[in-house]
Amino acid sequence: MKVNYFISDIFYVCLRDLKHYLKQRVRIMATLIQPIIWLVLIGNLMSGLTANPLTLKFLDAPSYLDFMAPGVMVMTTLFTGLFAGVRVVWDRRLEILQKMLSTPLSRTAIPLGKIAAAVVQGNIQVIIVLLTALMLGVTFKTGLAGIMVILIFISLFCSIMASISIALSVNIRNMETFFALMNFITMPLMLTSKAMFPVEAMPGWLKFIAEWNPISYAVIPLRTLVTKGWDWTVIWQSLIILCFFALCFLAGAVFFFKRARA
Amino acid sequence: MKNIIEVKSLSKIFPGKITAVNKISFSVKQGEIFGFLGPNGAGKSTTIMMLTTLHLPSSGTAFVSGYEIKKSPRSVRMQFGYVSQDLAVDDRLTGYENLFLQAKYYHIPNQTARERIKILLNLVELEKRAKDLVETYSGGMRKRLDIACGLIHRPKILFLDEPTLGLDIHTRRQIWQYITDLREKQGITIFLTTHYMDEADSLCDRIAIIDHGVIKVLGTPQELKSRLGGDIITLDIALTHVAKIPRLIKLLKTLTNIKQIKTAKTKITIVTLHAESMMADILKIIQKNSIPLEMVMLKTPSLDDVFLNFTGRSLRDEAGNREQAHKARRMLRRIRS
Repeated sequence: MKVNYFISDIFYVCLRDLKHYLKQRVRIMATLIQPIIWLVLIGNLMSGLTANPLTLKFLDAPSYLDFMAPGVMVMTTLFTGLFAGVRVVWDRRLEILQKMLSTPLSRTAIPLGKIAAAVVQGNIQVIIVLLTALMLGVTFKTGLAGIMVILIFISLFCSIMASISIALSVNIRNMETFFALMNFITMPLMLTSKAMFPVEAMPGWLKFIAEWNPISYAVIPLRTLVTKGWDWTVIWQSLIILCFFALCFLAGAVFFFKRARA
Repeated sequence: MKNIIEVKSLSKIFPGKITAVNKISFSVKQGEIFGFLGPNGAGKSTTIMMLTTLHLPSSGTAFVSGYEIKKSPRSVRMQFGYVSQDLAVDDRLTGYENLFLQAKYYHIPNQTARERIKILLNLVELEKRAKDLVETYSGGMRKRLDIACGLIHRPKILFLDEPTLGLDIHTRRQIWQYITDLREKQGITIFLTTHYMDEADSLCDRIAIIDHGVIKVLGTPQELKSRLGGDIITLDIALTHVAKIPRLIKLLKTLTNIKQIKTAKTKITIVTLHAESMMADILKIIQKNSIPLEMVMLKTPSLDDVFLNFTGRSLRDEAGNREQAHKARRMLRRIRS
């Protein structure tokens, strides 16, 4: 019975956030357009620029668009995940969080439900990116099964990012601070990873950072699945690392959420 | 009657050694409407937050319907409904969705939830607007929805933090009606904080006035008012008959229930407990002695006077506007965080 309650708690916290998400038409429109801008504009532009044997060797992919599509998926997830904390700050501001905390809702289920909602949103948005990429002529080497595996990776990565966001959000009382903090995290994290640019083209110090950047762990298996095929060593290795980090960060998010004062 | 809430030397000290609540003890009887009054920052909300398990007390304890707030917070949460002073309803969702989610937070089965939502929507007169987004609701409608949310699990106690703050007179009276009905028809114990003296006076069975984290006084509104000595009757005798005053006073002193009589020139001030019934007797004496009166005045001390007496502040200044209250709370929240 207790387990049932726990699952029900996660489900309804998640459902509430998703209802909010689906009612934000402008935001959904923006998430539809954003990948198109990235892929159509930057992707095509860079494809022209990089269509020479030397850069293609760096990229190790049929075209820059193929190289970049997994990067855009990860970036979209990164943003969706990191914005999960906005909901906590907002709910606290409106005293809705306090109202939820005064009910028998499990206090572990609240952060987990919010992370689950972020994961669902991340998946929806990645599917949009996928479709856009397919329309632009990106070929997925591993086909539909590969796409399923991509969504598993995306879910894990999204839950890590949402956990970080929620852990950071619990002690923040106003939106401005939160957005500033998120911007501070996202841009450097994105640009020092293997998401947008081939590691071979980076200077030594940047190569070192990119090697350790958590985003790289999500981008590499995705890129393998899109441009190379079923390379099980890469896939298993990344899956284990991401699973490990996801569990650690989920536990961290729950810990910080429960410790925070109402 | 049984005590449904027992508070035993409860304290809350926030970091920075700010004592919000200082060893308060009191109890709330089952089925009563208990009013918690105090200036901004007196510790009202902090006390409610401890009783609703949102804050852990620094020391002391409380029992809510028999459950201890620190040891069994989850059982405590099943006992009460909490309506915070901000309109904590989800305005991106419909009224119905708000109630349904709230029901699910209490693990109420879907069918039961649907039935109860229907009854509650009917109670707060929102059945026609149930399918509309809460964004389109007025302040009063939101408050009614919020109260309905607090009742979804049929709690024994309802905590109402400033239930009528910022609402117009008509809506306030409507909310008062719901509150008294809830107590009369369902026997729910109501614990409310308020800034409005008329609200406390007409609604509450008992009142506690809290200031600087300490309970200054506790009792029925009538008791509190009589602590100030009672009602005051002032008689102004016509100047031509001043000579008759000493005789008049002698006669007045024969009446029972007179606590004090003072004279100053032509004025006689009488302090009494039951002014309305005394008035007739006093006037009869005056008439018998054919003393012409210039003026008669009766003043009943209001809760405002009580509040002023015990906190040294007038509550009317405190009420201010909603914006001021919010500012003060935001400051407190900064301290809390």
